[in-house]
Amino acid sequence: MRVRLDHVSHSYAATDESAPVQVLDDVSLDILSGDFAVLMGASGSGKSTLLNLIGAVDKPTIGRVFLEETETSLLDEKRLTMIRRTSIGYVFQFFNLIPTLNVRENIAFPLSLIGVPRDATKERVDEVLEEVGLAPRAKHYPNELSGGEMQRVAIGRAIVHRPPLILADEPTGNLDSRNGEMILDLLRRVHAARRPTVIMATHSIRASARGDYVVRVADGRVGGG
Amino acid sequence: MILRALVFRPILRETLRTALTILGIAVGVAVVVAIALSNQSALRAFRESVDAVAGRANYQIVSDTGLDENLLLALQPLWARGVRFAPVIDVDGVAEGWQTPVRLLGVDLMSDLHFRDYRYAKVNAEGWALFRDDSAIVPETYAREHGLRLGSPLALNVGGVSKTMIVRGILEARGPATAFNGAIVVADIAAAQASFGLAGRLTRIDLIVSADTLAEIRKLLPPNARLERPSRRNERVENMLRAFRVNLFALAGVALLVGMFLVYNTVLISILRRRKDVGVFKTLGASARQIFAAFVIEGLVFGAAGSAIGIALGRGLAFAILKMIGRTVNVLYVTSQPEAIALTPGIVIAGVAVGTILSLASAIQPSMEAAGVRPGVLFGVATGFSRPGRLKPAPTLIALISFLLAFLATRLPPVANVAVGGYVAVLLVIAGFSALAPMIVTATSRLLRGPFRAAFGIVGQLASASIPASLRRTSIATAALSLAIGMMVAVALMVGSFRETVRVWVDQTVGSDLWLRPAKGLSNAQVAVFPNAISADLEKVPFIAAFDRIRGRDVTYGDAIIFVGSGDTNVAMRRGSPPLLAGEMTPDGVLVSESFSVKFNKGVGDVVSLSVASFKITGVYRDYSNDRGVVFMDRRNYTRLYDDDTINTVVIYLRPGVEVQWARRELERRFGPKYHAFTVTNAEVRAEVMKIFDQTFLITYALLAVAIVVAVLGIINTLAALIIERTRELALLRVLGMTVAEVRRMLVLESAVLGITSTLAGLAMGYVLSWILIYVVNKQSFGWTIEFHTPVRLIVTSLAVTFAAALAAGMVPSRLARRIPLAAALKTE
Repeated sequence: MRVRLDHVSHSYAATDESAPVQVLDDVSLDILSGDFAVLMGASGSGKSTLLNLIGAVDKPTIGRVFLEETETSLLDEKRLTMIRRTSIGYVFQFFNLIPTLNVRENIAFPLSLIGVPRDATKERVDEVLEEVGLAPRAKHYPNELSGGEMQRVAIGRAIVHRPPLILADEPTGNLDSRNGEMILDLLRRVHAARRPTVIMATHSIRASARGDYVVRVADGRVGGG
Repeated sequence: MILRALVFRPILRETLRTALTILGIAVGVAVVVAIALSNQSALRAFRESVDAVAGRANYQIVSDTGLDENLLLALQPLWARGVRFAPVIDVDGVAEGWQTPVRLLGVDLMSDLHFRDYRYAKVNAEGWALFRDDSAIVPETYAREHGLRLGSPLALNVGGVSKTMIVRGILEARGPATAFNGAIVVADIAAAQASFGLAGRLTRIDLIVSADTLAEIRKLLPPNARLERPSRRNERVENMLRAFRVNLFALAGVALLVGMFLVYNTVLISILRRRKDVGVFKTLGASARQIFAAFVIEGLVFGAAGSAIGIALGRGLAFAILKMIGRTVNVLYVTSQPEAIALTPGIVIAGVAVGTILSLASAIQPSMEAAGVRPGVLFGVATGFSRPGRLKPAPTLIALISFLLAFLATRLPPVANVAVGGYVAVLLVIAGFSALAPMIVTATSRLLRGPFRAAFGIVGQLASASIPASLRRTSIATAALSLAIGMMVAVALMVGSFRETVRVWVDQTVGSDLWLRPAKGLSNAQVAVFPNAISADLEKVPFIAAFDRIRGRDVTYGDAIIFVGSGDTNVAMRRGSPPLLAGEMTPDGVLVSESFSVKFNKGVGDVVSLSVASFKITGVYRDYSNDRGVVFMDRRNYTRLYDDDTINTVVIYLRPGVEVQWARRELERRFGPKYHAFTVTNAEVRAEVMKIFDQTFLITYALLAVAIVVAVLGIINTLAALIIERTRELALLRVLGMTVAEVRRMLVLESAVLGITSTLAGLAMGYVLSWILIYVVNKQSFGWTIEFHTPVRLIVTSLAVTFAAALAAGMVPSRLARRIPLAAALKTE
């Protein structure tokens, strides 16, 4: 899936009478289908905001966002939800698993929303459990897993419905180096196997090396890539 | 600073939560205040009437059978010692024009001014006009209400004697003119005696005496007379009404108890959400005591605000409740026409104290928990998600101990006719079920997971799984709603059982064809009577096979007021005596009602000593017409001992083949004009009894509906708080592709889980509580045996309504789901 941002600026409304906070300033970006792009910048540089705009979680204050030929900045909330449901997979820094669902159920969650029949869901989830190496832990709950295992579940959830776009926001930010490497390897393998577009935000130079190219983000602006 | 940050700002910012909590307390306090005001008003109306009629008398000579006026002669020598006495006729009658009760007060108009104040607004002052046999003096309010002027006729029926009086005086509203809401007719005592067949008789003698003459006066009294203070009657009436009033307060207390859960839950949620803030304050040096005080103050603020609003609401609600209570008091106990609601300082203080103290009590435990929060909570992993709660073994133990203590409490005897043990048992059962709430919530959620998944997909599965994940909060909301439902079920079972028992009893008791009554639709059946002369006329009616003449009166029995009833036992023994629990009916002994037997611990073979005579109890029978206790004797004994041959009701048995409706018309033609008689059929009597029954319990259902409302407010409050707490979790679900509608559906299904859990728990609790209400509270308070009966339709309807209310409660906070800002909610720190 091709991702394009066209002169996007974004600010957050302030809670008091001071001026709104500008987080992105005239960003234009073109990520081709199948790319593994890394957004690299320090904390507060605007990379998470970029991911939110690309991931149809938020709409830009100024500018346009395109997923393929669809301008998401013009869509209503219901259609944005459908895009998120079917076309995008998310991996978060703090895993964000659903604590009341076990590993299998967490991975199956997107398929449940889409309405995939039970047999097909089981078959697909079994595949993904193998792929992320968690088949023996399928019935465990998130509070029984390590950080690395939780992030593998999150990746499984992000890929189970074969979305053309995967967004990863600091996927190793809450892991030790060994687990972090494991997660990055997994992301790389996923990308190699099916060539979804992967956009990963990170402040780690080591992590950034796993991508096809790096887009530097600083003070709400982009450069490089 | 701590108070501002932890308590006051959140109170002002979270308007929904604050409003719901304060409203919950306000409703609970309003109900308690309303009941207190209504009770007070009902009693005060009666007390004021008694006091207005008693005037300045500090003692009275009274008797259950009336007094011979010759006693005045015996008292005459004491005049020189400063004793002042006034003869009084003080009897109930009927104003025939409007068929309404009226009190006849016959006094010596010349000398009564020592005792009572009379100020005439208008008077016919010609000669001795006021002293004529047919002169009546009425209060201004009564005259205005009924369009009476000087010279207007006023037809009265007193003791079965009809007389048309002429209004010759109209009194200003003071003294006795204010008694019984002005439904009082004053006449000269000689005129009253002559007009209504009371020659030589007095109701009582009022006295103004000093203490040193009391002993001498007592020596002059005939055997069945008593010397007592006027307030004694008030005390007896208060005793009589005590069980009824305590029951009402207990019901009102349910709403307040549910409100307490609300406060506990609110403060707890408040603390759980601010754990990090508390951790910050503690890290910066705030003491545990400061943290404790802050959250206790939050509870106090809710309590104080809720109490203030509750008192205002309660005053308004009191008017509606007063009508219901007033009807019941009039039908079952005494004539009282309460109208005024007076918000006394005592009730205001009580209302504030109840709401504030209970809120404070509710806030203490969670505040202690807040005080114990360690600064280390700041450094935990910030997933922002709720984890499934773990059950602890202690609550099960607490529940078991509570149930055991409840069982033991049911074995305790009553205290002053109040089933204290029963009420304590009710509280213990409630405590036990509340302790089990977490276990019940977890178990029900697990059971529902499969069916919800099957019916509603992933949305249903998430809904059933998320409730036990926030166990502390959801179990408290569940406990509150379960309590309200439990009480609703318990009362429905109790009232349903009672109703069925009464219905069967009426079927067994009302075996006659027709009843002949001296008035239509009077709330107090003792007020109107037939003269005994009707007996001879009844004998002449060819289609009557037999008739039973019923008459009775309230009499004192120690500190209590009981009812002495009478009838023609020879007829009853042939045609069907009242349903007996033990013994048999005989002409010379007495039957006592079950209430009497339980309250005074008397059974077959025991002797009951009335002021007029002692009798052997030959039988105990069921009587649900009143709870103060009945001693039933043969009419011959009654007329002889009480010198009263009048008749309240004639129970008529027709000859075979006589058509009831035809007989009815015939009887009214023969007896209507002469005796102002009305007939009532068997079916109409049954319907009237059941109507009185239903009216009596109307207030019960009203109070419980209030408790349900408060509990539903608790559900809304809890779910709204959970949504705010789960903002990040809900945002995640939205980001992963759940629509707003699906999130809302999930939240409503969570409400359904709470509703189902509460309904099941409430049903179980209700059955246990109903056992206590039927076999302990009712039995000890009123002395009645009730056969257990499940009114299935009523229970199912009640449960369906409360479940629907719980479901609807989920829709209100689910609207918050629409407003979750996804990006901001998912922002990591």
